[in-house]
Amino acid sequence: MFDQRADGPMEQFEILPIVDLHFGSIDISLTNSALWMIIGTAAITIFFFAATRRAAMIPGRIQSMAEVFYEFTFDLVRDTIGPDGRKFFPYVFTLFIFILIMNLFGLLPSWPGLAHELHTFTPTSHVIVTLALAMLTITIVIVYGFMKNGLKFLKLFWPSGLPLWLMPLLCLIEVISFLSRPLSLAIRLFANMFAGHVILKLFAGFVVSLIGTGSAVMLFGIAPFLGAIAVTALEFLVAALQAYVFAVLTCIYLSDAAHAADH
Amino acid sequence: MRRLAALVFKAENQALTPEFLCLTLRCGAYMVRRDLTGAPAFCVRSFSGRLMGDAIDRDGAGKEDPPPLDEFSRRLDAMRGQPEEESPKGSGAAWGRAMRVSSELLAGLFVGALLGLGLDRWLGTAPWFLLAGIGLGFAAGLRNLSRSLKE
Repeated sequence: MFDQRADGPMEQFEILPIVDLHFGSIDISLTNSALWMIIGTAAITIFFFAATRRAAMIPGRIQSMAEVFYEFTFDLVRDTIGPDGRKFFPYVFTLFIFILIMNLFGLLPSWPGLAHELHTFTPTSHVIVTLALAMLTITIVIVYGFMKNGLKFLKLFWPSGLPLWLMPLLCLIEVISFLSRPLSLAIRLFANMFAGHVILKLFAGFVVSLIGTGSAVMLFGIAPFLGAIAVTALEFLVAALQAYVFAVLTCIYLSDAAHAADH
Repeated sequence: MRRLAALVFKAENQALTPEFLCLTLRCGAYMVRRDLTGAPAFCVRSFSGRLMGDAIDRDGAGKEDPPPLDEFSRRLDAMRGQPEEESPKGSGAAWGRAMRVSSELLAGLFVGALLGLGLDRWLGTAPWFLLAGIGLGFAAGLRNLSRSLKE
């Protein structure tokens, strides 16, 4: 009845090539990770095209949903960065929606019997993806910070109102604090998605192996089954929350860059 | 009247159907009068972020031109007085904050230790830079913490 070959909880994170592609000596194969990013991006694009195709004064269902997303992010950007945060709105919005959809699509069940390459995959459960997004944010912060404030951007690392002999030490601490930002952004998102999927897989694995015994022990399978349901619900919350936290922190860092000279 | 308002609200969420229009025209005058004093049942926000009401004629017969929406919005705002205080600190925000705080302390320590380790490797001075890096990293983590708690 059940396939008893229990896969390890880590197999879901394996990156597998679907279409082999090589650019010189560089491997640019289309992998399952890339495939799910493409699926996510396509879904987002279709959703927003459908929502804005007939922008009515009285919004329909799809338009209402799109407007909720839009206004949520818009208020976030405006409240955190201030009036000149408007130009960052497209970036923050894209980031938020992209991470949200990546996280949520990772919770979709795989189609039964499909090849391993085509199983549902969560790109945000790989630290390289989240780190790339975090580095993009920090690069924008640094470039915009220098563009807007010139060398005054370095004031960010130079807290005022302290005795001079303490300054070098505090400057060092501030630099480390700044460098820890992309890391904390990346690790938080990756660790949350990764840990959630491992726990889900473990619970599900318990259910399968307990039912596989075929004796009265089967009844104990109900406990991990309920656990898996609870964790699934929690994962939906975590998926939305992590996208939100990423967007909020991006806004806070951008606001630091915009107002570095005012300190 | 409550039921009627709910009905109108429901219809509005569907689409601009003929039934809805009919309903609106019949109760338009009353609704508008009520809504200028009470809570508006049919305010929608558009992509431009403006507060807008339905363009319902005041006499409900569709003969007069409706007043401009900006004007309506201004009057509505004046009637409602100060916008009610929203509480941004819902449970979701609190959750997000908890996750941020915990990971920020760790990230500072991690970066400090990593920098120390790198300098030690480069200069061959193990373990001094690592020790200093852990100390400074912890301080940076605390700095992150205090900053994110202040917000």
